[in-house]
Amino acid sequence: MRQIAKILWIAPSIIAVGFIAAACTPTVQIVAPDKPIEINLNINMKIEQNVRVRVERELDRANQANPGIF
Amino acid sequence: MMNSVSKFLPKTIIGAVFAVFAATAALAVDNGGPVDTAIASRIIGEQANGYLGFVRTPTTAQADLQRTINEINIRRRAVYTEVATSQNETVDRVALLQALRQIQKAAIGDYFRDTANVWCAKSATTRSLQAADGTIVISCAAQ
Repeated sequence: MRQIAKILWIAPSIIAVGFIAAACTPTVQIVAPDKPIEINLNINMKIEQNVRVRVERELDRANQANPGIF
Repeated sequence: MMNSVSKFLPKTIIGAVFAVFAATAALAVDNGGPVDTAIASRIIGEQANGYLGFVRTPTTAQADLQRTINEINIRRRAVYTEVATSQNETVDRVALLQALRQIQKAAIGDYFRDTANVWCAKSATTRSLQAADGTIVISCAAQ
């Protein structure tokens, strides 16, 4: 009788410990941010000449200011 | 003993700080080494979105190169964003104009990814230009 009572007590304890352990295991895993920037070309590719000229002027400046990335 | 440690330590720290600075400085101007080599080896190339990309899915052995590429791309995006803001344009359109520049200055044989997401080697039949109607054309296919 005592044996059975002991088993009845131990079994749920083991299950409870299992649940607690499971709850403590981190499920959110952080993936390394090595994902490249995705292509998005769903844009208006028609660029007016005057817009291109002033953007290119700024790009020239930016290209000179940032050697090694262009 | 204690004295020699305290004498030695500051030098080590200064050395370490210096090494970090030197490494950062080298990184800031490094496009000559691994990146140019990888472009010439057709491992990576310019894309029509204005960023560098891998022609094929990078292997685990290319993790360092991938990190370098990501770093360059993040810095490019910062530049595009800055120019876009100052010119009241979208980041994507500024990036497209830079992509045109990059692909135009690429060597024959270098790989690039066109506006249809196709990778190909630059040749006499591939096109990177602005059409008469203003459309930016970056295409692997001949006219």
